[in-house]
Amino acid sequence: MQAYILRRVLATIPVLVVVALFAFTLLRVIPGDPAAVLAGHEATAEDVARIRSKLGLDRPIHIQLAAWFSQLLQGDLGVSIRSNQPVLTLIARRIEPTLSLTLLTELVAISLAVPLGVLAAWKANTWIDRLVMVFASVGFSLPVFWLGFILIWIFGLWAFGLDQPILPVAGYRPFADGFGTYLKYLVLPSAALGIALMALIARMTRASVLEILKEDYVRTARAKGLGEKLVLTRHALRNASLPIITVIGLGVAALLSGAVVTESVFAIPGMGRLVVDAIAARDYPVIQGMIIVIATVYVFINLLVDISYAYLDPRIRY
Amino acid sequence: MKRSITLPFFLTAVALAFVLGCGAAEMPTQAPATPLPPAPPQPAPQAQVAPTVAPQQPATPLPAPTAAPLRTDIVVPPAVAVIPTPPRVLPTPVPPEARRFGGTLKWIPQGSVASLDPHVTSAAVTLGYGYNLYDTLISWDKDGALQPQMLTEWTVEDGGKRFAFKLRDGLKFHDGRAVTTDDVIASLNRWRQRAAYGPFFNNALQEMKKIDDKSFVAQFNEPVGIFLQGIGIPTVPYPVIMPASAAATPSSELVGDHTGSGPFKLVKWELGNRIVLDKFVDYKPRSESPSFLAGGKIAYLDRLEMIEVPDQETRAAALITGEVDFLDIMSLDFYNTLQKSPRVEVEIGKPGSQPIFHFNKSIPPFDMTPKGLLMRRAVQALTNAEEIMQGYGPRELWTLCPSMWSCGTFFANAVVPEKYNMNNVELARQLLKEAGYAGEPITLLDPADFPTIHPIPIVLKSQLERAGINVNYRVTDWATQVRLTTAAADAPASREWNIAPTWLSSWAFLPLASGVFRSDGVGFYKSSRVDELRKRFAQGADPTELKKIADEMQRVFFEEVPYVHLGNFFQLRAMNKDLEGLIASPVGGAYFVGLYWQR
Repeated sequence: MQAYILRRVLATIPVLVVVALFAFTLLRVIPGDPAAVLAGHEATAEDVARIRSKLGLDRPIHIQLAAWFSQLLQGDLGVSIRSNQPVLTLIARRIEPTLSLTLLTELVAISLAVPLGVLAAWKANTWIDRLVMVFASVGFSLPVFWLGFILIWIFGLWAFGLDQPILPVAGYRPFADGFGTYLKYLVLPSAALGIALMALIARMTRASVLEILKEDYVRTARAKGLGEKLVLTRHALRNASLPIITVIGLGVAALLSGAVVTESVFAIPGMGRLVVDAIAARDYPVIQGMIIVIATVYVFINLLVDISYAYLDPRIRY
Repeated sequence: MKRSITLPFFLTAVALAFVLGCGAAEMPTQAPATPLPPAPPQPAPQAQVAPTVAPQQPATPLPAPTAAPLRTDIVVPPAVAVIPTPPRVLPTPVPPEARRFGGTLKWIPQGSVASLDPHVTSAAVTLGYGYNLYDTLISWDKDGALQPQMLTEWTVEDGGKRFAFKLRDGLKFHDGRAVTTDDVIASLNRWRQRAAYGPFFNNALQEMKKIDDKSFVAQFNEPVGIFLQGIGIPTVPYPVIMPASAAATPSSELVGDHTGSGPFKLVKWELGNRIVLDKFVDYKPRSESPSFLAGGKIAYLDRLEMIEVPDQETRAAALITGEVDFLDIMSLDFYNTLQKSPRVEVEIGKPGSQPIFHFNKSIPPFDMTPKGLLMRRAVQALTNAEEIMQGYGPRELWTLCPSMWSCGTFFANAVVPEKYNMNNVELARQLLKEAGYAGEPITLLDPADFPTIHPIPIVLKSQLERAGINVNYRVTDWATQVRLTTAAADAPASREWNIAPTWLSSWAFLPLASGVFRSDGVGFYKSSRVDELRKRFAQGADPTELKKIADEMQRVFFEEVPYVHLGNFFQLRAMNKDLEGLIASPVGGAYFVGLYWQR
């Protein structure tokens, strides 16, 4: 297992190199110039040229690429053109809100979706099953930003006719400000994100468990007199968990990369907003740095998912 | 049985989803707000409502602008004057017991704050921080007159070539150190590298010399009355005074030390999220009443807490629910929503900003040739400004203005009203024919992510086509448009556009601050006439003479048509009704001196 993990970790290096090359190249291809954005729309061409020179953007592309790779090898993601702050510092500040949102969303989604999915599979082709699947379809189809606005309206503006909103509609408070306050600001954004994710996990759970429930050993378990609860949890769910874990893993990776729309709607200062602001300002170092971080997150989440397979299914050995 | 239950359940779920969606009708749906690019500076303080002037009518005089003229005591040559203290014509102070000290203000800015360096950043949000964190030597009052702020006095000597300044007592930075002339000189030297008026006095500056810790002189080779205007200008780059150590940062970089000497001090800055300012208890305000940025700057609030909220709808919801207390510059789409809320008071800032579209004059068909001039005049003729301005919402949120200097400001004057809002398609066709236009595609840019510019090209396109112009409509984003319009003349990017919409503010009342209406500015305009007029304006100081020059500039503008201006859209601010004392800032930066909680 250790050898497998080491091989996978080493395999991330060429992946990240390719990702870095793509990020660098594609950024230079798209229209827009960070120097022009920084100089402002009333700047002269000379102003822009001076800033480009100061930023090193007038150097040959291969020199810029080499310089950036050299920085990367030293663990330095560069300095933001827009704010003059180290990219790593900017990203580090955004980790807590993004991680908080991710964990709470996953917790909510998994704790509701998995039981719902199992229930739907157990009661397949009944009205319970239909209800769960309708919920899954609707939940998955609703745009997250629309759902966000609805939640803001219900719990903030309308608030069931109360004088005060029930939950805050915007902003983020760090954990250091108190757990209650911290949680209060995460409820609505987590709910907006969690509904879509819940729908996806519920569908996958239902499909996987349904497949397992058709297996002979499940029939044997029932024939032996095991209660349905044990059959579903110990036999069916565990064996159905691999695809569920995969979906959960992909969800975590996507959320860690930044739920841009939700962060914008609820004003969460997460990684998604960081990268969107950077793209609008053509802040190359931040965009490149974020792409590397996102690629790394995806690679390692996939690794964790693969490792979890080995623990969940003893037949899988690397 | 199962099927008969399934269908109703499904329909109920769908119906529920639609009911919930339709129930949010009060909140206009809006895509997540796009980040605001560096905003151009904003105009001077005027609350005058400009009249709507019907197009193609005989010249109708505008109401007398309320802006006070430039100070006559900076006449050069030959007068030498000492600015009297206390300054003239400021209103009677409100008794302090009528205002309540204390409390926290939570507010949302118009865009993301990327920098707190007012010397080099062109963003309006940064300007607002400049107002609160820092102080300046001279400030503008509500009438646009210069008033000493950090100074006790200044003198103009040697026919306007020499200015002597004296700092008032009690000035301190937020770290407790006294403000000295070393700090002032270093700050002014940094600021003037990118100052809007810098080109008019930088070359003439011989030296800024310290006399003692409170006095210094600025010596020039020639009279430069514009220097005093420049060190009091309330737009970006803003001439704030910072410690000499911070001012040592090159003007091509952002300053890292945000120590100022203003009524508020920086406590915390979480980039992209939150900025907290606390009242600077050691700030010594002047004794006069506040008048825009002049007079006594009294901080009644203990704390200002800013949170960045990208989405406009969420901003409105946050104010309506009481989570925040103040919104600076909201989208005009939310005017009705905010007005309806019993908790909210809406303020409409005037004169606002001036939407325009300008021509790429480096290439045909709008180049600086006789044919290019005919083409530009053709577009001027076909433009229906009123039709375009309707894209900015209810009528009370915008105005037409036949003057290129924003209506309601000192230089506003309808000198050639017949050339504004012409809406004359026949004339346009005739001019196109004379120019020999043969249907070549003309690229019109649309930065769709910029909400206050996007309405322009949408309507302009149809107007151009109505006159027979073949339009290549290029939808892009703001960053790309800036890249194209600031590219050098020999760069391929400069040939990818013909008409670009944008909006202006600071120079719409400050004739010299424009980056567009000058040779070698944006759009490749070249005009020796304009350059000469700008030079005369910089050297003049008599208000009557300056007005004549400004009128002449307008005549050249309407004749040479470097761009077409459309009117003014106003600025929408909203706040909790329990707040009082807002000093209206006509520019995009929120100013919280004088603001207090009634209860």
